[in-house]
Amino acid sequence: MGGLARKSAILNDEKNNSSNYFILDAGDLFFKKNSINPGKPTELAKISAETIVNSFNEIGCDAFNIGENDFAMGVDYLTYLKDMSTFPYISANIKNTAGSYLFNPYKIINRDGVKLGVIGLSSVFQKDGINVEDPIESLEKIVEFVNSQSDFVVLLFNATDRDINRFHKLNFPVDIVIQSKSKKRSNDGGNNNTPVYSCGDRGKYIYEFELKYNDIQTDFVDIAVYESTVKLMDRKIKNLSKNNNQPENEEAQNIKLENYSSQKLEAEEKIKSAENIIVINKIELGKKIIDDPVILKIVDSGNMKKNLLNPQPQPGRKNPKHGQPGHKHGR
Amino acid sequence: MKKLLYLSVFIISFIFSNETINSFKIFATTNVAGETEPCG
Repeated sequence: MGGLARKSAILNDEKNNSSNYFILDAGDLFFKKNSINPGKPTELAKISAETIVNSFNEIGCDAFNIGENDFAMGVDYLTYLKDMSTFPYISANIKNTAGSYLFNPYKIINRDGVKLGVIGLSSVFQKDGINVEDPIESLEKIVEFVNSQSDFVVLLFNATDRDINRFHKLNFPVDIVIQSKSKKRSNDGGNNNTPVYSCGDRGKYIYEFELKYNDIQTDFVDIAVYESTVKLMDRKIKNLSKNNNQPENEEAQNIKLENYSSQKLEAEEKIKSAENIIVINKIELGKKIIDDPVILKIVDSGNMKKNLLNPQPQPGRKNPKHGQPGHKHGR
Repeated sequence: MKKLLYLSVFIISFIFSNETINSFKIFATTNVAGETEPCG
């Protein structure tokens, strides 16, 4: 959980420089899997989850979307975590068995003149005591209202790729999507109308999106997509000139060159003419980042509790055999 | 005189520049629990 102390250090830097930022989590915050074995694994998972809550309370989070794995210990335990938390939980399609929302479906945050609308969704999954409705139908019900109240709409989506494809087919007034439940680490938001970003499945990256605008009501352009196109076309043009002495006829070569050049020009024009742009920065929560001591203390306290439950082998000792105290499973 | 001219050009182009001046940031994480390894 060292990433939490590093995440906090990065955000502390930002807090010292500006106040115009938002912190969001797209889901699967507390548990790695959607179910946990009873006994010691349950106790260890509870300590981890409570350490995450205590850390997030300190770091701050403007909206957290509930993912499938967050229900690994059941509805009652998630409700217990929510009561411990000072940050808002959202979901627009997770309801109780009586059909009422378990959490607020969205959150609108008004900060330094920017109204950020954040909607939470999850792909359908089964769990006792809850009813997860179709995410796309649930989005249709609220998205126009949230958009009318906001300058910029973010969808936090604990989504399968199938649901992301369904989302792209309908042109929702959403500015960006942040997808959890995916192993992918996006370099850009892709070529669809609404950029979709996934930050990987190991919690080791924090994504920074810088939104620069002249007119916040008009569309934002993810320049990383067009920068990649420019680089790709440059490469293709270079390869074309390398292969110039191939037997392929000159006319075909010229057609290709024209095609690549025009795609490059189009991408450059998109970057130049963009009124509003999205710049993404993937920040690895690596060991080069100095931990925030406040969060490190919380994490260390959690680790101590875990060690009491599950003693770690002393340095120099051989790894204990399966079933003995301190035995660690290989990955 | 030249300095004054340059200064005026700079001020006028600054006032009428179409540069992006507004911005905000979003920091996002996902799958935070993926980093932890509860030993079973």
